[in-house]
Amino acid sequence: MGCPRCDTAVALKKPPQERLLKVALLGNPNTGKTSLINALARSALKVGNWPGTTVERLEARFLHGGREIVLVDLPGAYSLFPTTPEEVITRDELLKDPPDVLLVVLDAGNLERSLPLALEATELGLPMVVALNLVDEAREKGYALEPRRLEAALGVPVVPTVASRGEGTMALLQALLRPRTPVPAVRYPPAVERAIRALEGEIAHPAARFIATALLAGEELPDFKAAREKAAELRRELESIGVDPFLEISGARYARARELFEEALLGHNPRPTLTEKLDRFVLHPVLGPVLFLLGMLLVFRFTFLLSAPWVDFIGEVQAVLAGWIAALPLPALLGSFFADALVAGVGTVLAFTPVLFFLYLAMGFLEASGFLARSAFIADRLMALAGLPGRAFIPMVLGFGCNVPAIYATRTLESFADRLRTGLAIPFMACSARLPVFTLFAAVFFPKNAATVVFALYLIGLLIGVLTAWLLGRVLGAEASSGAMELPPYRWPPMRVLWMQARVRTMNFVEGAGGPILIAMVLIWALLHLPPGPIENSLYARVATALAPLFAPLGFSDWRVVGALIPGFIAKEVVVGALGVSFLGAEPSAALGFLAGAGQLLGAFLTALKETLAALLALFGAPQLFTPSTAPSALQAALGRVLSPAAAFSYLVFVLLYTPCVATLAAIRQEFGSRWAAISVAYQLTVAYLVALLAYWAFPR
Amino acid sequence: MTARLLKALNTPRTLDQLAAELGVSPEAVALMLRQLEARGYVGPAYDQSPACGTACSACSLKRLCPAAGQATPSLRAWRLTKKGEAVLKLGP
Repeated sequence: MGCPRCDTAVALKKPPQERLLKVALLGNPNTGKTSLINALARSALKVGNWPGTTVERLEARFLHGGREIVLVDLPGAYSLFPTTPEEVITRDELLKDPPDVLLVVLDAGNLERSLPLALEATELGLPMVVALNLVDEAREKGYALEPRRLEAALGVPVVPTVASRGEGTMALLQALLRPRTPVPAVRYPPAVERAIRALEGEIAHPAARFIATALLAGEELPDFKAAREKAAELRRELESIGVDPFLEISGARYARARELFEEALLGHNPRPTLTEKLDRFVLHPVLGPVLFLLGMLLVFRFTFLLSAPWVDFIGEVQAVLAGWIAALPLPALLGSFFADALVAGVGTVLAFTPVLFFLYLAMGFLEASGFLARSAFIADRLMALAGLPGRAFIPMVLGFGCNVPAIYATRTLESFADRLRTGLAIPFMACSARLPVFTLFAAVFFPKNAATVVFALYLIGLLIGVLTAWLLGRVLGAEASSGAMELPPYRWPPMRVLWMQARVRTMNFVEGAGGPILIAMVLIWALLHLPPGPIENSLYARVATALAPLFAPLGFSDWRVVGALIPGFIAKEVVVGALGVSFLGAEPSAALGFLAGAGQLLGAFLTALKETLAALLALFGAPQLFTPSTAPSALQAALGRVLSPAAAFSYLVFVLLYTPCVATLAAIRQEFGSRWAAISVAYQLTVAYLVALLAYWAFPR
Repeated sequence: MTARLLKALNTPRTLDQLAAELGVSPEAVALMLRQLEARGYVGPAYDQSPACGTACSACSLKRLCPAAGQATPSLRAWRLTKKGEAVLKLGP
């Protein structure tokens, strides 16, 4: 790239008024450059592409004051140190084919963001005019700007405009005929200034100062070989004294942009937005975590209050189905298969789909409203304070849905130490598959505090997970978190979308988990009937009975309760089903007539509707119109007979923390190897046993 | 200014908090981060795992998970890269 002005020396010999005046428009994207061209030219625009690209090139020709002017719209750019292909085109065009006049278009409503580009433009050595566009939007935002101060600081004409309404265009046209070449408006730190001056001498180009800063900052420019080599040498010298040229150059431009913005600003009366007002509380270092925990508690309260009537209803459907099956003239073993494996086993798991539906609904609300992003930020900061990899919070949050994708999501973390400690912490997060177990037990043993107990379990899981990551971090010497986060504004989510999303997610659970649960239930049912006879003598019961003494210190040693933990290793959803098959299989249902069953179902449905209404009122603290049903299901009653509340809580803690399911284990093995997968199982079993033991003995009696 | 921004990234903050600390607008902070990211001083804190969408095929809850399939995490967040950390150590 040679000196463009020298190449066009012949053309420059023409009298100025006879030459075509090429004006290039430079500005950030969406600053109204195209509107300005329309307003100035008032003619059909010529649209093409920049050579060798698909980037649109806009041009307009018109006469003004007897002079032909061509306006060229350069691709939108935030900087001439490019980060996008469009910015490369803009920079190259300005260096290779500079215009006669550079029209810099500033967004008055985002002036501070627009100014760094204008400051870079002052180093191009080109005659320049500034259009301070969108002044109407700036006024709406509460900014009172004084263009003359900007004009004095930059040393070029500054014209306020509202291009969409054609305001200021005449003054701008006049200014274009009297542009001024600015004095570079940024002073860099002395060491960088010296390097720039040393480099400028090597560059025969009107934009020598800009090119020198670009080369010194490490920008790639196709030409200027000698200057590039010299720049590399100067850069090394600067770095040897602790100066990063890019940071110093860009930092000085942003600092000067801020000064100019403040100089041009007469006053600012911003009205805080709703998001800003809410964030003062939600992101507060102390209040934020408290609000986050309260929010999560509300989610569980909402989930349990509204789902309980429908869980009861499905339990009633199960009882009626079992009664109808008992009334059919089927062989005993086939009747048992339908009633115990399908209705009691699979049905018990499916009975908890209302819980998942309402949980998805509540979580969907938090996600779409912008609250979940803020909770991630709060947790990120808290984890950083604890010396943990804060960005690991996202995989850990995913773990509340399902541990498997969460393990794979740890790949986003850079160091193996961070990935490993997060990966081993994730299985402690209470995935949705554990929720049916929590719900079942909480309803039987803690009917008045079900939401609080389940919430506490989630917190215990999170705490143990964080402790695990922290301990491993101490062992492996991992570093703390850093970073910045852009938060979306708060929004009121459309209820219809939330409803549909929750429905799809619940159906997905049913479709995805249904198959494995059915297979597991049939297997357990078969093991409970081998050899034929009372199920207490079955193969399944014998294995579970052999293991039961191990769990006696934890407060539960009933073989059916212990046995349900074994298939839970395959998938946690199966624990509840296994409890259903083993408890209800031993208690044959009474035969039920069709009409009696249908009447029972109708009654249960109406009760569920009434109780939902009562729950809605209770959620908002209103007095309840209907008293919710407190009659336990057959399985709940059976569990109530073999466990104390302390043992039930201990069991829940064990289910929360014990070995990851097979799919999670496979993911751990794939990501961290067999050794860590084995360590994970041993570690989780140990932690689960010890914490459950502690929970049993510490439980208030 | 840009070096101060890098230093401020040592602990997680929102753009608004960074803007308040540096005395600039959040838009200016976003612009600085964009430039720093393009030059490798900061990087995305949460990007899509290449495993997502393939590993989740067996998961019954994949539609719940924002990291699954085509979906990308809705958060935009940045962290210091090795280069960014090295520059901070280099500083006077």
